[in-house]
Amino acid sequence: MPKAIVEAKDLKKIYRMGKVDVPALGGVNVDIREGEYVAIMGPSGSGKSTLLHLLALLDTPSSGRIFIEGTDVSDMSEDEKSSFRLNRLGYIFQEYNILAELTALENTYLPAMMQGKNKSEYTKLGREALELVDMGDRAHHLPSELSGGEQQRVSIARALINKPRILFADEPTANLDSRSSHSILNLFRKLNKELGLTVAMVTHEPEDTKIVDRVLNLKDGLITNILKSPTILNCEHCNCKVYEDGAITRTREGKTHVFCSENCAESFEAE
Amino acid sequence: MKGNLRLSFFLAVKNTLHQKPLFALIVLIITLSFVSATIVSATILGFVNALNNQIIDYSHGSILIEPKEDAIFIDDALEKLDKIRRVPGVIAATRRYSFGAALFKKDREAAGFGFFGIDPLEEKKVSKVYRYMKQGEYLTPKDRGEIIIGSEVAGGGEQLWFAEEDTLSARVGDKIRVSFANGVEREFHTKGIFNPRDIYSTSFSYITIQDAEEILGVSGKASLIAVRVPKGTESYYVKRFKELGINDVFKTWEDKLSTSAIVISMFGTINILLSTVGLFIVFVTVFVIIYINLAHKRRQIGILKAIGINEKVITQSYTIQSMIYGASGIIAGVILIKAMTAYWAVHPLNTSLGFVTPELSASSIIIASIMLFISSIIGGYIPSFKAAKEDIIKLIWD
Repeated sequence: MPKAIVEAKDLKKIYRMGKVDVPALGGVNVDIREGEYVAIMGPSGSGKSTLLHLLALLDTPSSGRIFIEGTDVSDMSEDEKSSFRLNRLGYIFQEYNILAELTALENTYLPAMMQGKNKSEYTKLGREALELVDMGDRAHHLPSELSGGEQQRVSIARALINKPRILFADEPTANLDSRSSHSILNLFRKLNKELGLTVAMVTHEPEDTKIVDRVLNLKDGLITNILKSPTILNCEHCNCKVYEDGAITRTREGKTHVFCSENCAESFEAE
Repeated sequence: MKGNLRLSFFLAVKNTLHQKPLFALIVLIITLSFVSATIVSATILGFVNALNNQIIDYSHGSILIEPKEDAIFIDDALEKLDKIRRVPGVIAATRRYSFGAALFKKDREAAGFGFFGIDPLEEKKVSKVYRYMKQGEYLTPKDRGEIIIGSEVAGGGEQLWFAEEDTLSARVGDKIRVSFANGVEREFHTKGIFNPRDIYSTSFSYITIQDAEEILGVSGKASLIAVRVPKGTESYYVKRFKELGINDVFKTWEDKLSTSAIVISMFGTINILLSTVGLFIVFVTVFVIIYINLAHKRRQIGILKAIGINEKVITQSYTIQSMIYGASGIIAGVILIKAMTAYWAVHPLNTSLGFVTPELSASSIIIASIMLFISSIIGGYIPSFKAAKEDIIKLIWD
């Protein structure tokens, strides 16, 4: 079994809204294994984005500890975290978040410039990263000249340029049409399979999880269940998507029927 | 370190060039701030210089030689003038008789600040009064019984100091009776009225040196010798004249400032006050503009932090950007103010104190430039430093 590349122990996050404390994560224990492709799912407000921010060192937990590649990153200074993000992590935002004044190539090679590489090095790396996401021919275009899917590809190239061990993605397909979404998810799978990149992705689309290794389900700031290699089925009553592991089943005349909830199952039986 | 600075410059330049209209607007505001901070100082310096030049050009000349304390006249004035004129670099020298006199026209009386007997040809080389004849003509060496009067004494509505009822209300051709301090009374024909629009000579009156010697009963003497030398060389020539054995009393135009010294000193105080307030306003304006501009870049700062660009590079980048704004504004400001002063050099401002050419001293340009540049740096540094210290989540999503 591959070793854990990311580990979170009793991770809590409490936001202070005025005078009220709002718990976002209530003590999450999770590990992500090397080379794994993990989806983090849950309803709005479940804490999935908060968990991703904490694991990607974009935010600081209220308590608990995070280990990345065996290093306890919980007490790192801002400079150390910044250096860690630069050299070992890649992060992809929901809203592309590339800089409007830079071309695709310039956006891509920013992290390599930060590493102090010389111009020929960072330009070469930038081009390679863009090629990897099939954006080589759009290198000199400004974001305003690119579609949403293309901009997201540029942000993926930027996340990959420093060859991170782990890629975090926060609903990377939320603002994309289905064709672009499919293409981005397949790209993640390709990077995961071919480069051995560990991918942790927040999504709210069950469809997106078809190609992941595991799904971490969150509810009210806690992981409620972990589904391995999920198979997605359709509820035979309301036709919504449902994981095979969590589906409700009824057998009638020797045939097994799948439902998303007890209500749907009962409705089916009453028919 | 080198890489970090290169990245900071890269981001600063890209950011600046991407927002050309905003860049142009900020530079315009800084340019106008620079002009507003320096224009008052330039105008006041212009006033001070105008007042100084008025002393030289219309009344005292560069150096004024007066009789020794116990003497009424300078003896051997013609011989001394000859010696002075022979000194290389001396532009001109002339002798004058100075009188205490009251002027009358019918029932009107006026007392000027100076009544002089002059050598019209030599006087023209020292004083520029002849260029500003408002009515009539300047004196000639052949004139006898002719007088030219400054507009402050003559009246006619252009006076700066005197009310019309305190003037002679004289016109060219009028008979003017003059009562001298030695008891002599003479009637003169008004040949001209002059108005160089300065605060000194407009209250002077001139007659020819021949008339003056006749009234005083002297010959070949002088009450004053006025010398014109290049500005700034006065002390050198005073020393040279003393070496020639001229042992009368020497006063440079700066020694004779008296009334104008009060005005100049007042201007100096106003200048310091206005410049200080002006520069403070500029400081705040530039700071606020850059601060507000950077407040809109919070999300961008958050993205940079998220991808591993450290706080130092981010702060450096926005500070450099502010420095680009500041430097561009200063350069444009210097060009604009230089163009304005060049225009004024040809077309001086027509003020009640005379023609004034606003001038910018190097020190006021340097002070304004430094203040603006510092405010640009602070205006860029503080907000970017604060933003770079904030949580990434707040920067991107708040």
